[in-house]
Amino acid sequence: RIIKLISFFFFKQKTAYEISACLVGSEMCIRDSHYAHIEVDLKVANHPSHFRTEEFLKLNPNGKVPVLETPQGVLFESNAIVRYFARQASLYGTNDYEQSIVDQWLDWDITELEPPMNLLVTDLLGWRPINQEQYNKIWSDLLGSLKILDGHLLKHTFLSGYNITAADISLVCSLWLGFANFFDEKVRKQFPSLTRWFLTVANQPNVLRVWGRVKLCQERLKKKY
Amino acid sequence: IRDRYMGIQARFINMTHKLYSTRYGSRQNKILILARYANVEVEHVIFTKLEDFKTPEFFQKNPNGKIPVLETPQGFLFESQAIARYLARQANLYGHSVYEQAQVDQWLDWDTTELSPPLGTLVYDTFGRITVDQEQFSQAWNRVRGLLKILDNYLLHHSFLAGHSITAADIAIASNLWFAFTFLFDEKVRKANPSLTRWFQTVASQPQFTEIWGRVRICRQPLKQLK
Repeated sequence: RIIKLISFFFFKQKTAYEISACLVGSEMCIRDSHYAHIEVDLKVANHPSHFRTEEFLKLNPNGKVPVLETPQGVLFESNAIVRYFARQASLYGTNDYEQSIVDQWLDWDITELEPPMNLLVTDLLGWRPINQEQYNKIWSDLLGSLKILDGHLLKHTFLSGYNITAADISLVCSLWLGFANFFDEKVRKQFPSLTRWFLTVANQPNVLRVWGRVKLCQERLKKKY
Repeated sequence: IRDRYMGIQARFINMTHKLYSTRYGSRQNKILILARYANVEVEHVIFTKLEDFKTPEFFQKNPNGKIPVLETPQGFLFESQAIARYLARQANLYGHSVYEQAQVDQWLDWDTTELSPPLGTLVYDTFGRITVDQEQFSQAWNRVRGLLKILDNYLLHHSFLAGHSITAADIAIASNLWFAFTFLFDEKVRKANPSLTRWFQTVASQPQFTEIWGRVRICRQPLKQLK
């Protein structure tokens, strides 16, 4: 197995909640790379203005993170990076249909799950404050998405096929902050299969190595500035 | 590489392990599945008649005169769960902590003491191996329904029986339930136990499982009790 030294940029803000929404996407890739046994060299950027420099824009003209530097070239879009690793880690399903299901859930993650999750997290961090009305709408959108996941996971142990795939890892990363900060006992009771699946994937050794042991939310965190 | 060489050598000289049993059944199949996980070559010595394992020669192997029996390089083993544990250790399917190991033991023993008796009544009677009257049959069904509910309630909150990945406990109980899921548990039972169905589908679809049992078949019309 070829060991690649890849540099990886993400944005780490030093607040009480040190993990930012960007980090969630980045860590997905690290997780997958643990499965793929690829060496990843992490580069932490401390300030968003770093991504506007000419030097960085040459790497990713979008001026965003995460960005992966491979021996062949640069990749942006976190899901593309996830798929890149998933193929090497054999976490992309065992046949064409399962592969498409993985793609389905990865795309669903971006369109249905991450928007409300990111808004909640950035609100909590004080970057993009929202009012009560927006909060209620976002919360009900999120619960709707969770219900869809829960319904699928009542009948399926994992999202695609009968073993862990990149889809499971990626969605668990999107939901990790939720389960740690927002989804208290009351919410978890509404979604038992989702909770079951989350705990299973979050306790896989490769995931534990990156996120650590999850402490389920006791009290839902409210806004603070 | 050395293990593969030894395996190939064993094929020409003698298999390292021999399993004495009838051809098809939940006990022997769970052992064969675990052997696949453990990468242990097992020669399957198949008995076709009950008398085959009541011979004086066989009593030397297992004084109980029962199957399955595993012949290992060190000696003979009887009791299917003990054989399962022996292979589970080699396959690293015995849990990843002291507590998980105990959970695997717990479910394996539960399989022997709680699940096997009534389930055996149902399956063997349906296939005509034994005959029970209507009363005993419905009693067995009621008992099995209660046990399935126990499993289902547990599996609503846990993906697998012990820890966060497949263990010998999952393989043993799924093997025990395979005939029932294929021939007895119709839509009604599956609807009443959704988490159990989810878990069974997952375990029974693992490649090591389907190599031995074949693909998962969902029961449409349950077999009736033979009169």
